[in-house]
Order: sequence, then structure tokens, then C-alpha cells
Amino acid sequence: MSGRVKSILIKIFVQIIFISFSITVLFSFYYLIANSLKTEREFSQNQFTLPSSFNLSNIIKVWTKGDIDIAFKNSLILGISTVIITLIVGILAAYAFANLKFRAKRGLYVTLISTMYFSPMILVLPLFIQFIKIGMNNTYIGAITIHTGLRLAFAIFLLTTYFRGIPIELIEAAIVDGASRLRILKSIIIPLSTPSILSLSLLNFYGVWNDLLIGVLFLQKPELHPIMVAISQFRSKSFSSATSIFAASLIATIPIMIIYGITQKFFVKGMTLGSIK
Amino acid sequence: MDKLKTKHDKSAFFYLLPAIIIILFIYGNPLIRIFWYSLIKWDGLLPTKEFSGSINFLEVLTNKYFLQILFNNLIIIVVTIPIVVLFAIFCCQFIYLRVFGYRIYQYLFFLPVILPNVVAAIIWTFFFHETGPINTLFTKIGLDFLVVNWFGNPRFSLYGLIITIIWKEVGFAIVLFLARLSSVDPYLYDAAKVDGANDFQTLRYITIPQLKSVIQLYVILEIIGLLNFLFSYIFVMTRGGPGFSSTVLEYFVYIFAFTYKKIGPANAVALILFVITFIFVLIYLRFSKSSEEVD
Repeated sequence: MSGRVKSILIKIFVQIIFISFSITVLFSFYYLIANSLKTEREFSQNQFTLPSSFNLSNIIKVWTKGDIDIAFKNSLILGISTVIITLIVGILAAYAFANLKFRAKRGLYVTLISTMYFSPMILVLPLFIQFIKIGMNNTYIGAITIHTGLRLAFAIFLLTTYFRGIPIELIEAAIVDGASRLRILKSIIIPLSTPSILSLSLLNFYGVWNDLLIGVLFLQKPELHPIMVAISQFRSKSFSSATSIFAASLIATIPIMIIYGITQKFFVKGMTLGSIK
Repeated sequence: MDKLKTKHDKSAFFYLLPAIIIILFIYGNPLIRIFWYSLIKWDGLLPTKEFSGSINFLEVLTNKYFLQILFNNLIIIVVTIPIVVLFAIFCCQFIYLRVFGYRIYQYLFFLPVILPNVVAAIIWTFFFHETGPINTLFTKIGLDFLVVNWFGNPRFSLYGLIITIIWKEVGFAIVLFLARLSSVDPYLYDAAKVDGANDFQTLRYITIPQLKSVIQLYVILEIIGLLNFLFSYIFVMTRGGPGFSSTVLEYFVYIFAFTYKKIGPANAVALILFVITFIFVLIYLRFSKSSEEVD
């Protein structure tokens, strides 16, 4: 077999593999969207076809009667609060790690960063018992504290890495001009780090939106359910049906897809940086 | 005095304090409690706590499902990782070489990564349903012997889970590997081409050696991830069943604590999971450069 034929065969082989995987991806999204627009009867008759009409009634039903509106709002509150608190705490710590000198810096850094890899499942049991004792279970503040704790290591890691890339001359010049530490942080470091701050905020919001475990354990009251908990427990609702589950899943997916669509580069950069270093 | 001041900055403490308090509360404090709870006999509610030594561990280790659960963890790791890595290397090579449509592929392959875990788990639960798309496909193409009740049969539920995880994870590995490959001198590929090497030969002799270090890191990271972050999938897709056929250590903690309501053994399992993870985190820190970020 000549080299030319061989290289064409390789190309065809690659296309077959790539197209197959693409079909699974496209079909998943098609399946989710098409079936959330069908009636239950239509779905049981054929789950593969397009819906016979553009019918938003499932989506409206789960939003108004399935409490998905409340869950959506809960997740927004949890996500945005966690993003803000993690940013403030993370920026302060990262500044110390990147720009200040102090004892046991490296040891402290590695210890804090390594918390990133441990399962929340290891921690939730003692926290659950403790939270019941101090009345922090079934509160936003309790869940936000846990989310912040879980995401802080990555925040410190990402920001420290970024802060260290800021030219030292800029900071030294500001010191010569008599600027205070906080002023340097506020008017030099933070403005220069907007891309990493944006990446981090997106990933943290995504992480909280995506969470199931913390919600299942620490926000058990139905009116506090975050979105993923609400969806995963949909089967037990009185009117639950496949099409309602799809409709609720679609509602939960749309905000993430919009955020990803707008900020693709920041999103991907943040995700990969955490693993390569 | 001045010299000391440039060496150690006392204000650093105040910048670090909020982070340290939160991490101690969310990580430090529960870790200490796990050690303590795993050594006492306690139902989590009654005030009576009596020291019980290794009883909780014995209860876990002699639990007739424990070995099966450990084995499930092992299967997930040894099946998922090689498939994800090999497939990602393959995709990475040909996306890098700009095969026809590579931009679209690159975009599509990353979409599952973005999809929320719970949503992915729900979609694939329907895919694996007895009359769902997968079994329908097998029937249509005449592979009827492959039609099984995926999540109703203890022999297959774990594999249903694994397929879903692979589908969801592979896009991330591709992006990670591509990021590394983009820093490789394209001249290497041109030179190989001039020498008559085909795309599989450059894959074998250029791409894989170039990716070696990032693959090492990815594998360790993925072991940690597969041990620790599968709750959403299992909770939605199988609840660890049928029986314990798709339960892993992580989910076993949940079952012990919230189904059996046995706090001691649940903490013992959590501690075992912690120790195993800790070993891999140490290995990861050795391989990675993250600790060199500060000096």
C-alpha cells in the first residue's frame, strides 16, 4: 500500500471516529431539547422524533408549579455570594503569597492548595453533625461557607499564579510613591488581573451551580433546594414525568451554556491552568 | 531591624487570616472530627459516646460488600483512565494536525464537560433505559445480544456509569493535552512529514513523547477525581445499585451515614478514603510544579 493511499485511509478513519463522537454529543443535546418540548404521550410513543409542535408548556409547568423558579433563584443566591466571598478572601491571601515575605510561606501554601483535591464527601459528615448543633444546616450562610471553603484553594492557587506574573517594577514604583499595601492591591494588582478574576468567578459560579452533594445534605428544606437537588428529586414530585425532568434539566443547563458561550476562553483557561501546573 | 522587616512581613498574617479561618473550619475541623468519630461508638444524636477503638473499622472491613466496593473503585479507575487518555491523545493529535472540520470537533468535544453533571447523568439514564436510544440502536443494527437492562442488572450498572463518565471527561483531557501540544515546535511535524512519516507515526514518535509529562499529571489527577467526585452521577443514575454493584467508597460513606445512620462506620470509610486520596495528592504534588509557585 502506497503512502498516499495509507494517509487517505487514516484521514477517513479519523473522520469516522470524530463524527461518531460528535453524534453522541449532538444527539444528547437534541434529545434533551426535543423531549422537553413533547407531551408525555408523544415521548412514550417516540423519543427520537422532533416534537409535533413547539410547545413550551412543560417548561412553564416546571417553572411555575414544579418550584424550579425557587430552585433557580436559590442557586443564583448561592452562586453569586460564593463568588464574591471567595474573591475577597482569595485575593487577600493570594496577595500575601505572591508579594509578601513571611515565615513558613511555602508550607502554608502547599497545605492550603492541597485541600483542593479532597472529596467534599470526606468532610460533610462531621460538618453535618456540627451544623445541626450550631443551627447552620438549612441556611444559606451555612451552605455558602462550605462552598467558599471548598473553592478557596483553587482561587488562591489561580490568583497567586497570576499575581506573580505582574511586573515587580510596577509595584516597586508604587512603593516609592508612598502607596500603601491595600492601595497597591486595589489600584495596580486587581485591575491588571481582571482576566484571571473573571475566569475564577465563572468557574466558581459553575461549580456551585453544578453542586449536588452540599445541596442534598445542607439545604434539605424544599424551599431552599438549589437547582441540581430540585432536578434530581423531580421523580418524587406528584406530576413528575420524563418530559418534566427534561424541561427542568434544560432550564438548569441554559444559563451555563450562555455563560460558556460568551466567555469560552476564560472558562477553558481557568480549567486547564488548575491541572497543568 | 530594617533588615528583618524586609525579610518577614507581619501584615501578611492579616491578609491570610480570613482564608486560614475558613479552611480550618471547612477542612481542618472535620478532619480532626473524622479521626475522633471513627474511634467512638455513637449514633450521632445521643450524648453518650464511648470509646470503641477499632470496632468501627472492623465493622467496615468485615462488611460483606466492602471488598466489592473497593473493587468497583478499582474497575472505574482502570477502565476509565486508559480509554480517556488514549482517546484524548488520538483526538488531540488530529485536531492539532487540523483534520477537516477540526474547529467544529474541538468545540463539540468540549460540550459534555460544560454540561452540569446532574443533567448529563439524567440524559444518560434515559439513554441506558431498557427501551432507550442505546438498546434501540443495538436492535436496529442487529446486535440484539447487546441489549441489556443496564441499570437493572448488577453486572452492567457499573459500566453504564463508566461510559457516562468517559463521555463527560474526555473533552477536558483533549483541551489539556492540546494546550501542551500548542507549545511544541511545529517544525518537528513538518520535518517528520518530509521524511515520509504518516500521521500515526508522528503520533507515536512525536505527540506521545511530548505529552508524557502532562499525561502523567492527568492520570494522577484523574485517579483522585474518580475516587472523590462521583457522587452526582451515582446519586442520579444508580443510587449505588442494584445491590452494591455500582457503589464506590465515596458513595459508601453516604449510605452508611444517611441510609444506615451509622456515624462511626461512615467516618471510618471516610477516613479510609482520605488516606488513599492523601497518598495520591502527595504523588501529585511531587510531580507537579504547583509548590514552586511561591518561594
